[in-house]
Amino acid sequence: MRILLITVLFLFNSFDAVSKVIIVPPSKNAQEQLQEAMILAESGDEIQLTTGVYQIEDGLSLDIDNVTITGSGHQNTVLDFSNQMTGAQGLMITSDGITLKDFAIINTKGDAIKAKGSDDISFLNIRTEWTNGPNASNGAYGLYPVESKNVLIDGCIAIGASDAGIYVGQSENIIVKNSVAEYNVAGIEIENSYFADVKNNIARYNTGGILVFDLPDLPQQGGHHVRVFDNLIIDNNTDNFAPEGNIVGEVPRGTGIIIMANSDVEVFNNDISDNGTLNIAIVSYSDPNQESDENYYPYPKSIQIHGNRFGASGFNPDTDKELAGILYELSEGDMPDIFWDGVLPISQMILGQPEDEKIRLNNNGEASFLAIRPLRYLLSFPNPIDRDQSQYSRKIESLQPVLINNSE
Amino acid sequence: MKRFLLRLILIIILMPSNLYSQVNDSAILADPPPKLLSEYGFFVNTKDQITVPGVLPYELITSLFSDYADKHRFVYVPKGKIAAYQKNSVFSFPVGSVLIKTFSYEPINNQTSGRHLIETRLLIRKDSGWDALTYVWDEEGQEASLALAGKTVKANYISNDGRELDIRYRVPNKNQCKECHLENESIVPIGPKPRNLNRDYNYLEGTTNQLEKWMSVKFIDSYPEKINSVVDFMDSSKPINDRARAYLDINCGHCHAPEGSASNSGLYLHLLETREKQLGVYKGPVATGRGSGGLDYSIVPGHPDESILLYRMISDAPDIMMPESGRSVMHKEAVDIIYQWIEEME
Repeated sequence: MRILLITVLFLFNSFDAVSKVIIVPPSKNAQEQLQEAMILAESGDEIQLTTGVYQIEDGLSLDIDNVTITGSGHQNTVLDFSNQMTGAQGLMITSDGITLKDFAIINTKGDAIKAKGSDDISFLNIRTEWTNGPNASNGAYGLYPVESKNVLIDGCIAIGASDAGIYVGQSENIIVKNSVAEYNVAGIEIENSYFADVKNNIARYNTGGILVFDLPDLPQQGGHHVRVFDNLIIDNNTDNFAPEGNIVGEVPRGTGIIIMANSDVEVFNNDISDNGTLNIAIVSYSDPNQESDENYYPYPKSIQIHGNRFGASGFNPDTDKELAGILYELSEGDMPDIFWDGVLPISQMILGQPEDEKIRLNNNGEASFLAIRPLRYLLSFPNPIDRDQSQYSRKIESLQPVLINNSE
Repeated sequence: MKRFLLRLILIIILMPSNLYSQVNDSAILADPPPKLLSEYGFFVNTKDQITVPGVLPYELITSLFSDYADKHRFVYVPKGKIAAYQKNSVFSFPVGSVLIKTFSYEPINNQTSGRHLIETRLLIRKDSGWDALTYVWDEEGQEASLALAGKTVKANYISNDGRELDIRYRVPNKNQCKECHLENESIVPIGPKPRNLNRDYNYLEGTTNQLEKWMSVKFIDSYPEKINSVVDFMDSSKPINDRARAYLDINCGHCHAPEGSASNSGLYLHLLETREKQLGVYKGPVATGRGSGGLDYSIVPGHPDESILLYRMISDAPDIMMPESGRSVMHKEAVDIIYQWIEEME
């Protein structure tokens, strides 16, 4: 072991295997020591970062199971990638049973922390930030688990990502809670994922607060069972600064929640307010240049919105974006709190939607509503919109809480 | 050359009678692995990368680009063991086999007599599977030391158009080896598949097809009669589609495959992929960030300048460029070929 300044404590777990704590303080050689520690660590080990700023020039990676990396708080322990030379992310995790706790990763060139194919991964009190504020040259994602299982994001802070601050993609069994996402394009995004609870978070000052998306041509599709509740989703009015070509580049400034092409999404008991375009949009996925992916269902279904408290919205719609532009025109400037684009498979547009797949709205106070009647809209018939939500007022069928590692 | 031959003769004279005893089989399987490359006994002359008998040099038809570094590849199979042919795959090497690859740059202005050696990577077939180790050479090219955490080496070289270029050469750490060599959960070699080995090599004792040679020294048990070989991507006599696909296969296809590190992208560039969308044609970017460059699709047929694939091959920004590691300068020759491939695509 070439790591200097290591204190080794011996701990005994229930299997009598020896675990050790490897302490890596900031220093000129900290990058090399830290990477070496992450390669030589053994299952059960803890790598401790101390107080201070670590200057890192190349992407770090961890591929040993059951390792914990801790700092002494996200304000005290900072991995600073401002001078990063290589690596598409700051820290890459590819192993299982990982806990990251109490440190910050700032100013990476690409994503801050990516976890791919990880089972049982926890981000606790982690901060990811681009410190120069919203900027198209910032990295895409702050916290970025993908193709992972049993994902816990708790007490984290994600600031300034040019795509999503907290992004969970193609994963299952996910809890994002008690976290703050601000000044990102998307605050929190759950994409092509199964079983996610997004609760008690603050999504503010983003372009869009919380996105629940499903996209085609990916190994895991058919995103479903997502609960978004007890969140504060306010004042998401930052101009969209995503590089073009990305799907979040389409998000209008001033959007609270967008649900796209997912099924079984329940949005309840949130405070959604002061979003200048609209509070909630429920939309289908379309791309005129794409051939259809026959394994992909582009329409949202079984969406339930209930018991939310809505504040001001629509006061400064971002009409440069297609979604907001069309809506502004159709609503004649009277933007709704809740919008549905009304697009369904042709057969359902004619014969009607199955009862259990219809949108359910309940107990949302004075929230206003607008749905497009797509056939009338496309054929330029009169009354292409429907603002009466009474037909959507149905009994709520609550989704089950999400379990991580088979427990709540 | 004369001096080199003399050295070789001297070495042969001084060598013990059992030639294979030069390679240290127990070092190969040692845990933890040897700290110094010399402990394995692969080389009789490090500077010129002359190996002991039993360690065979080989070349691939089309190889991975690594910042214009020269690569010297060798294969070792322990005496009495043999690698088995497997369809569409690398040979199934027996425990104790090693694939050796040294990276070097030609010295500029003949500053030193030998090559400027950077690193030697070993893929060792152990009981538990393949293990990846990297050894970094000292300045004199005499000895190389294990570098599990990787290393940054300043190198320079003369480009094809005669310019002296500086390179911040990154020796990969163990995890970065896995980025490319991982298939599902295990490390696998990439290069030595029959389709990429089926070519001649100038051995000291004469020029032979490499697969024939491997048979004759009993490194492999068999190889198929008909091999659908990749083409040399620089061979302008070959169809542009074959050249482009050969390059993408070896440079991108190990990650961009359903079992690879880039599986989540849904973009698959290995040779066996035939679906247009998965190959990138009118495929939108996913989780790409700045990597999209404001473009809508990986490949827009007829329009290379609107294709993300080419944009990322040209870039040298860490969050944009592809591959993510192992390249710090643009591979101009490859960019030209991919440009032409997309331009001629209908």
